[in-house]
Amino acid sequence: MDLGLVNPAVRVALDGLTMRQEAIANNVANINTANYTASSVDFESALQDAVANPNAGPGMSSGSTITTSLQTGPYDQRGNNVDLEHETLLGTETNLRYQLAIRAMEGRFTQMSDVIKGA
Amino acid sequence: MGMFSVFSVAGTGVDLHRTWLDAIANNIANVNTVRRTSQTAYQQQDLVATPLGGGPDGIGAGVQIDHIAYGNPNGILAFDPQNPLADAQGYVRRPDIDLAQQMSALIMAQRGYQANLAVVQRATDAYNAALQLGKI
Repeated sequence: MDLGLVNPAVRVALDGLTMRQEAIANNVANINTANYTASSVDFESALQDAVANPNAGPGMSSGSTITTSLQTGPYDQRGNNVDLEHETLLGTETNLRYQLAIRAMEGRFTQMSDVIKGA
Repeated sequence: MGMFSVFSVAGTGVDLHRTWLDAIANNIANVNTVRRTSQTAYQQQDLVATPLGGGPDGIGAGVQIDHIAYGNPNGILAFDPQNPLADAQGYVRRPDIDLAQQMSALIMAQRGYQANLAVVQRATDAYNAALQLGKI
């Protein structure tokens, strides 16, 4: 029996946000590396598909997947295009959205817990 | 994807920038290291970084030291006949270190170190939220 504890959209959002955090960590780690191009993670289209097809379970391709790409911002004289302000803002936003997704899961868990306890 | 993988990625950045700070501190400490003209001068050490591949989900795993670039071994010949290390003509070998360049590199290394620690702090907040799941 599938209790549907984790909403597919929340699952995609948590996966995507985790990957984006890793990409940000990698970009900041290479802030002073010569000839480094920053990468970014896009999961919003995958999230849209997950919202549009909520019955497509994990592994069942519902269209878009999470993708990584290279950023196209301007390079400095060392051949590095990491934008620290951008990465910091994006990191803060990613962190807050991650906590929001966790909060959404928590609500569902609380509901199930109440059902089990019969409270 | 590994659990808490942001820590290991940001950790490589913290590590590299701390090593860079060490190298700069060593260069500045030796800015007045004088040697005989028969020896090589103290050579300034500069870290050359390179991305570390093979990370989680096809994203890089951080950064690593590629090699250490050494400065000019000839240094700068200086006329200092009073120096006990001076040769018969009165010359000694001083290191060829650009102090202004080292000081600006020091600021870059320090800011890079702080930026990586900020990533660790943010990841800690996110992971903490995830660990609260189930505490209902």
